Amino acid sequence: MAAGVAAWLPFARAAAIGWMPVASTPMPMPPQDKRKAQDGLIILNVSGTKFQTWRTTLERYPDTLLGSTERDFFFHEETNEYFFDRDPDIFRHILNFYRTGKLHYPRQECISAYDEELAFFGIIPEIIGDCCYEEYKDRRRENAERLQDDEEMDMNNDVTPVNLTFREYLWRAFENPHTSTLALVFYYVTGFFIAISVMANVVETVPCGSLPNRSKEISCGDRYALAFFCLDTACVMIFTVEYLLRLIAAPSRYKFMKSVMSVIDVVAIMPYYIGLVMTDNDQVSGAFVTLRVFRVFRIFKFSRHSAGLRILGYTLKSCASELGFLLFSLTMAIIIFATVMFYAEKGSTASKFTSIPAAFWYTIVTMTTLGYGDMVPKTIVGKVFGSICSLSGVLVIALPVPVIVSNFSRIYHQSQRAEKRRAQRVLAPRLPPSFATASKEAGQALVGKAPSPPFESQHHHLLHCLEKTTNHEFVDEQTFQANCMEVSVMNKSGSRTSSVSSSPHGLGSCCSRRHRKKSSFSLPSTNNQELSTIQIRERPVANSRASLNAKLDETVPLKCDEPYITPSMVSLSAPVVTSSDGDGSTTTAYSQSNIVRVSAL
Amino acid sequence: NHALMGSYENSSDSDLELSTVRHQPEGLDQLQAQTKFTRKELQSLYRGFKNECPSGLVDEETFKSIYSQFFPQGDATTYAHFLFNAFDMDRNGSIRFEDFVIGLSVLLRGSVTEKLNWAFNLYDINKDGYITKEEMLAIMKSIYDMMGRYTYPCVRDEAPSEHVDKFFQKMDRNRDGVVTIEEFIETCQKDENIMNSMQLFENVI
Repeated sequence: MAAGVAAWLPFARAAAIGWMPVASTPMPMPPQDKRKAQDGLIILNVSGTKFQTWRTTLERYPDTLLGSTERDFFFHEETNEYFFDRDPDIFRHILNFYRTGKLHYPRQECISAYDEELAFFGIIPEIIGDCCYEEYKDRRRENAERLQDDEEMDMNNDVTPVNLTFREYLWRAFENPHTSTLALVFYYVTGFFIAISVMANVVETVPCGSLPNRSKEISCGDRYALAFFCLDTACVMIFTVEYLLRLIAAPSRYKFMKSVMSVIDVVAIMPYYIGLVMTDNDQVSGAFVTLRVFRVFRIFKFSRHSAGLRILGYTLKSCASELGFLLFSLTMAIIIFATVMFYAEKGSTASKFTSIPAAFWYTIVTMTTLGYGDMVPKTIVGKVFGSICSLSGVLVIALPVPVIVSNFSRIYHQSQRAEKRRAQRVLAPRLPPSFATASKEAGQALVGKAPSPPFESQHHHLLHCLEKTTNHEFVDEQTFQANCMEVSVMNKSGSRTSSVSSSPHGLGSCCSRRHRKKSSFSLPSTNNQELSTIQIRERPVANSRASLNAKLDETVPLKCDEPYITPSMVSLSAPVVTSSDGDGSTTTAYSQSNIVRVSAL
Repeated sequence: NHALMGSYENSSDSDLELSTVRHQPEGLDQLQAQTKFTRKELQSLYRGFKNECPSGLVDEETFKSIYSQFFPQGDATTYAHFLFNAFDMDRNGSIRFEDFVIGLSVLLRGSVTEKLNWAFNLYDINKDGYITKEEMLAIMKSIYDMMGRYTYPCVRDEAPSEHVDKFFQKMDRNRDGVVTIEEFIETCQKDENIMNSMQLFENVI
């Protein structure tokens, strides 16, 4: 229950006296209030800073450390105070939570320190107030990413250099070239050959002077065909060897073959082999020439050598949704404007806007503010819409770009930190992340146990009094639906129910007397057909009240430990029941319920 | 020292103005004289009261929202309205701490006759000294409203009026259609259940 409202429970209970004169049934007994301790001041000494508060303030949340008897473990007899060896600055916020019912997150505090304090005092972070919740969630997410980076680094560096098989050694050499000199040499050699290969691809298309018997200039690639071929062969051989070695060394070959770098490797060397296999067949040589384009993908092999390139790729991957949005909105705008321009320019003579797809080119060039000028509108309407198009293009492109930029910056800084930490880790001892998670689990366990606090039992009693006043019971929705269906079923057998309702022996009141007497109730075995529904259901009151408390209680999920089993018997035959109604006590006629309940209260 | 409230023209201003009104209760000694609570009990009550209503006054909306939180399944606003009128003794639209504490003192520490008087005052909506059937029906409906929809057995529409009829049958001695305070107290004192239930909340504080 919210802290403030709980203070008004005594008032609500006192006001229940207003129901007493109109009550249909006698009232239940109030719960025993075990602790009648006087409200006193408690001194909390947190690392020397003394805090004081009322005992009842702390006991508002009995599932936390300070609100339960767990604080007795920290009681210091010599000074008659409770001593906690924790951070007093953060404790201030925790104590304010008890006072006001709202937990705030201070911006200047470290998120993991704050989380540890919360876990220690048994407070779940989900109750942080709305004012601070977003900030808290953001910081938590950043921290989690950082921890994840840490773990990945751990996994990479945890394997000790000794006792590695050759395969593992090879894999480690490929992934971390700094581990051994041979790996470093291999790293630089492959890098060099990637550069050579890319440059060769570029240079072989440069015109290189003309042959003596031709006027046309031919490219260097055609002039020095053999040299370029040898160079290409050498590069491809190195790449192939590298790829095969990686494939052998990979711990999971299937996973390796699925990875992006492996695909790039394959795409880089495939054209060469396909070219070897295919002869100088004219039909396929056109396709072969196209394949050569794929050789440019070798440049992506540099991403193994450059962290920045990897980060860029990772950024683009993580901004996939923003990029998708950009693409989608651009496409929409392009289609709209192309259509408009086409119909606007349809009238003008010799218009370049021959069709809507032709207008696409104009729209794209205008929206990205390129403006080649190969297609320009000539009509006035066309010019008006053309200017609108260029203005909107700027806006549409400018929107998702900051998001992508900020993502890139965040990821880049994270990788910088990772690099720095890798250097520092050699020096400082590190607490394994298991400690943090262990304390968190301990915190969860603390909060998880749910004794029944006095407020809840008093609130139950209040609701019970209301039930007795009106002679109806609270049930939850499912039971309500079930009962309504039962009632409709029972009403179908018309005469029998009417005979029951006019029976002088009130069946509904039996339970209130009966469970006090705890007499043994023998089920009549003869009328089995009447015992059509023997409902074992959790005591609906407890159930519904549990859900009531769940609504009121923001902090702790209340668990009803023992479900109260009420076997209830729907009996349609009056005589049978009255014979079992053995005590023969006079009961006032209640025309409403015809349920006999034996409740295990 | 009751701060004077200016009259507010439109309701949008009224929220702002109500927050600037503050009320300080009478001294602790005076309250101790007027009620049957001890000093410590009064202190504890005031702390709880002030925590929830820092301005020192409870207006009807706040009162309804607080009371409704105890009855999440039903609609407690109508009954809260009647309760509010029962506590707001000088009928000025807000409950001060004195009203609150005096009411509680009657309910928790008063004699049975005082409690019955309080209950009669609650039922007598127009405070004319008579409980009519219409008044009782309104009260009964509001009590049944607090039960909500999901009850067992289902609350039928005639249930409140049947309950009122039973009440009048019991209370209205001279069959004149109204219940006076004397009839009420006399009947209640004869009913064992009611007398027992009056003692139920003695040790709530």
